[in-house]
Amino acid sequence: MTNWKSYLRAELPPLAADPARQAEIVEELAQHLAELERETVASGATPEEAHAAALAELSNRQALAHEIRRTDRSQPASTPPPIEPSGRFLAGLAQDVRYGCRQLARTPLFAATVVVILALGIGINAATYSVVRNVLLEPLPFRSPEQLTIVWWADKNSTTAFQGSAPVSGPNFLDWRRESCSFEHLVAMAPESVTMTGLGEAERLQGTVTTAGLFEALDTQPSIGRTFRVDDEQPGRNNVAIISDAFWRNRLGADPHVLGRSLTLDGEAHTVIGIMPPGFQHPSPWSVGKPTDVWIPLARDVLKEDGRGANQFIVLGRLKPDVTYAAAQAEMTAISERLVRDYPDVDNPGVALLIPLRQVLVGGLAGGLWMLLVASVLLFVIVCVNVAGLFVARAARRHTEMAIRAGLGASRGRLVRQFATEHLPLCALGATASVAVAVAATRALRAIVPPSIPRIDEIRVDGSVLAITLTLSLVVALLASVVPALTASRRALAEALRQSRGPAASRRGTGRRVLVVAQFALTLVLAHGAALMLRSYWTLRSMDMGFRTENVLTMRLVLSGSRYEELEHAGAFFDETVRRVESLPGVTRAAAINRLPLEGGTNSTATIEGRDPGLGRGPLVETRTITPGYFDAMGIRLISGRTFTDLDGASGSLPVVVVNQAMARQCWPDENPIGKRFRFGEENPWMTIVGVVADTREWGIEEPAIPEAYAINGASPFRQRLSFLVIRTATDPMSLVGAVRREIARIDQDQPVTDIRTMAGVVDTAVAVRRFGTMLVSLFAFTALMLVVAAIYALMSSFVAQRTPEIGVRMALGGTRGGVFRLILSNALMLTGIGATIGLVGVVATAGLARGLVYGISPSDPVTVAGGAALLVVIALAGSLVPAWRAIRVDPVQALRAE
Amino acid sequence: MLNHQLKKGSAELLVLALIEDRPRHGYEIGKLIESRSDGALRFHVASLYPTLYRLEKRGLIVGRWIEKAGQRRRRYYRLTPAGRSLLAEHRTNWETFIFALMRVAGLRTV
Repeated sequence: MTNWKSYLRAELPPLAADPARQAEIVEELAQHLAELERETVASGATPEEAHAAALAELSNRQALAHEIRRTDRSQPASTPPPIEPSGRFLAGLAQDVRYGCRQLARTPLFAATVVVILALGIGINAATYSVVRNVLLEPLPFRSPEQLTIVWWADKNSTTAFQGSAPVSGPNFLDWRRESCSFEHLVAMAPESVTMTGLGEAERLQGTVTTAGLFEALDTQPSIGRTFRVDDEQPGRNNVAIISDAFWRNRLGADPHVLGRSLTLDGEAHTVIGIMPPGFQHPSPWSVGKPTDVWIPLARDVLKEDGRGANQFIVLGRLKPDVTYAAAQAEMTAISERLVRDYPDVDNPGVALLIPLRQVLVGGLAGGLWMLLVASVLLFVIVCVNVAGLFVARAARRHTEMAIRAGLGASRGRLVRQFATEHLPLCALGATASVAVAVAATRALRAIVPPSIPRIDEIRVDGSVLAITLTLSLVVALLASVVPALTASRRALAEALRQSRGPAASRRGTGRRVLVVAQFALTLVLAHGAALMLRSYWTLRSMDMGFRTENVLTMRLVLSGSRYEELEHAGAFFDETVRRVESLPGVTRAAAINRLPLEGGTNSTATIEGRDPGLGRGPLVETRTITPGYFDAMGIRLISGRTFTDLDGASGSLPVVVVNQAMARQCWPDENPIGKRFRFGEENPWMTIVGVVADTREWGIEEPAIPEAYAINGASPFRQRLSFLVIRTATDPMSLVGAVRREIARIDQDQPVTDIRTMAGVVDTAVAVRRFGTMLVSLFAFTALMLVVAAIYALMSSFVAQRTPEIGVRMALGGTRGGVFRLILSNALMLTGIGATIGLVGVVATAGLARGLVYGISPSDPVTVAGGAALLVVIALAGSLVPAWRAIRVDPVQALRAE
Repeated sequence: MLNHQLKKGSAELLVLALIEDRPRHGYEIGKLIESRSDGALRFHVASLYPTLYRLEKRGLIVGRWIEKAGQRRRRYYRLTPAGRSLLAEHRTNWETFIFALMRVAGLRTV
C-alpha cells in the first residue's frame, strides 16, 4: 500500500499558511486515498490498478491546492443566525403549504373532485345521523323521561312480543288509578278532533281529551294559567280548555286576556284556563305529526259511558322515582288479573302491560332508521376509500418527483409532511363544504321526513357527528399521505429515473387495486340493501290492496253540534250528502264510511251462531259502517252474494252484513258463508251474511287482511258514526272538490270539510315511511355506484397508460386488438370478482339485520344477490370500456418510440 | 456524467443533505453521492474537499477528529444550525428549479 501522507507532502503544493492546518488536510486526504485504494483492491483489482485509481483522483493536484488555499484565505462569511428548532419546523411547514397550494392550483379538477366527494360524504352522513339521533337517541324532552311509560291493555297471549297499540277502557283505567301505588301520575287520554265555531268560519281543531295530571306527569307547567284538576273531571265542570302556544298566537292573535275567554267547541262553551309553553306537545303514539291545539278534561261519565269492554284510551304513567318497571309491572299484572276475575262477562280479557314511552313512540321505526344509518356509514366509508384512492393515484403519478426529493436528501418524515400539507387543505376544504351540505341535507330531510316519524321538528345538524366524520376524513388524508411517502424510498431514485414505466410502475398499483376492490365489496352490500328496499316497495305498490285507487276523492266530515248527537241524524246528513254529491256532473258513485282503509279501525270479538262458545273466543272482527254505494265507489270486488241496497237500511229490516274473504275463510272454511249468522255480545242481534267482498288492508299496507264485516248505515248494529265521503269520479277527482264543498254547505254550512285527499294520496301516506327509507338508501347506493365507476375508470386508465409500451410490443409482435381488449377487461373483471366475493360475504352477514325491514322478499334473495353482482360487472365494464378502447388504438411504433 | 457546472452548483446541496441525519467523513460522503445517484454523480478529491472546507469556513458544517477503538482517527463533518437552514433553502430552490425544468423542457415524469 502506498504511504499517501508522504506522497501528498512531497507532491502537493503548499495548501495552508498554518503548518498544523496543512498537516490536518494532508492527513484527511491521505486517508481518503488509502481507503479508495483498499476498496479497489477488495473489489478485485490488482494493487497497481488500485494505486492508479487513487492517483487519478489527484490528476488535477494544482487545482486542488489552489482551491484549498483560496478557501483557507477567504474570510468567514457572515453566518446566518441560528434558527430555533420550532421556528425551523414552522418555516418548513409554511414552505410545504405554499408548495402544496401551488401543486393543487395546477390540478384544479383533482382538488375539486376530492372536495366535492368529501363534502357530500361527510355532509350526508352527518345529516342522516342527525335524524337518527333526534328520533332514536335523544332523550324525550321531559324530566326523567325513563320514568314515563305507556300502559296497554294487551291480550294475555301476545304480551311477550307485543308490538301494537292496545288501548284501555275507561272503567279499567279508573280502577288502575285508584288501586295502583307505583305511579306518581296515571292519566287516560285520547285524540279527539273538535269543531270550533263562533270565530268566523267553522274550523276543525286537533283536540286531546285527558284526565287530570297529564301536564304534571310531563312536569310541564302552562306559561299562563293553570293545569287541569281532578275537579275538572266532574261532569258539568269539564267545560274548560288549555290551548297550545301556536294556537293562541295563530288563531287567537296572542290575545293577552285570553284566560277566561270562552271558545265554542263542538257547540259547547269552554273557558280557556291555560296556555302551554311554546313548542310543547304531549307525547302520544296516536297523535304523532298532529299537534294538539286544545286539551279538554276527560269527564268521569265519558270514561264510564262505553263500559269496561270499550278499549279506547291511551294510558300514560310516570313511575315514582324509587319504583322499578318490574315492580310496577307486577303490581299492574295483579290488578288486571283481579279485574278479569271480577268482571267475567267482559269479552276482552287482558293484562296491563307497561312499555317505556320512548319504545312506544319510536320502537317501530328503530329498525328502519338504524338501517338508514348503516347505509350512510357505508357510503361514508366508500367515500373515504375513494378519496384515499385518488390520493394514492396522485402520489403514484408523482413517484419520480418523490424519488428525486428523496435522492436530494428529503427524509421520509419530510415527504409525509409534503403530502400531508397538500392533502390536509383539501380535506379541510371538503370538511368546510360538508357543513353546508349537512345543513342543506338536514333541511331537505326535515322537509321529506313523513310526519308519522316523531320529533322531526327538533332535527338539527349534529355537531359531534360532524366532528367525528371530519376527523375520520383527516385520518384518511394522513394515511393516504404516509403510504406513498414511504414507498418513495431513496434507493428508488435511480430506478425511477431510469424506468419511468414498466414492471416497477405496475407493482405500485397494488394499493389502488385493493382500494377499488374494497369499494366494489362495500358498494355491493349497499346496492343489495337498496335493491331489497326497492323490491319491497315495488311489491307493496303493485300489491292488490282490494280497492282501486284511481279517480277516488275522499274527505272527512266530523259532524258537530247538538243536531247530530243522535246517530240517526248524522246518518241522515250523510245520506243526503251522498245523494246530492252523486247528482253532480263528473261523479260516478259516492258513498260514506266511518273510517278509510289503511287507517285502522275498531274491532270486536264475534260469536258465530251454532258454535260452542266454550271452545274459546270467537274471531276478532273489524267493523265498518257504510252507505250502499261504498263498494262501487271504492272499487271493492264482490266475490259472492250481493252488496247492500237502500232497502237494507230501511227501519225495521233485519240486520244484514257483508263480510270479507278473510272472515269467510277463517269462520266457514268449507262452507258457503252466505246466510250464516254471527253477533257481537249477547245484547246485540244476530247478523246475517248476504255477501262476500274482496279483502282490503285496513291497519296499514304491510298488515295482512283480517276478518271484517260491513254493515249499512241506518241499520248498523255497530253504532258507528260516518266520517268520510268516498267519491268515484269520471274526471280528475281534485277538480270536484269545490262543487262537493258547495253541496255540503247547502245542507249545513257549519260543518268543516277536512283531510281532502285522493285515495292514491291515502296510499301514498301509508307507504310514506318506507318510501322515505327506500329513497335515501337508493340515493346512497346510486352515489356509491357512481364513485365506484369513477374509481375503476381511473384505475384502468392508469393501467393502460402504464402498459402502453407493453401493449405496443404485443401489437408489434402480432397480438390482436381483441387480445389487448381482453387483457384490459379481464383485469377489471378480476377486481370485480374479488370485490363481489367479499361483498357477498357482507350481504350474507347483514341478512339478519335486513330481515325485519323487507316485505315479500328474502334478504338473501338469490335473484337480488345475482342482480347486484351482475350490476357490479356492468359497472366494471362501463368503467373500463373507454380505457380499453384507448388501449386497442395504441400505435405500436409510437408506443415503442416513447419507450 | 453530468455537466461540470451543474455538478458544481449542486455540490453544496448534496453534501449538506448527506450529513443532515448524522455526521459522516469525507470518503463516506463521496461514496454515498456516487452510489445513491447510481454513478450519475461523482466527486473527485479535488472538488469534494474544497467544498467541505468552504462549507466549514462559512460555518455551515463543522469538522471534528474522532477516534474509534482500533481505528485511525477520522474527520467527521456535521451540520450546524445555519447549515440546516441553508439546506432547507437549497432544497426549495432546487425543487422549484427541477420542476420548472420538468414543465418547461418537457422532461418526462411517470
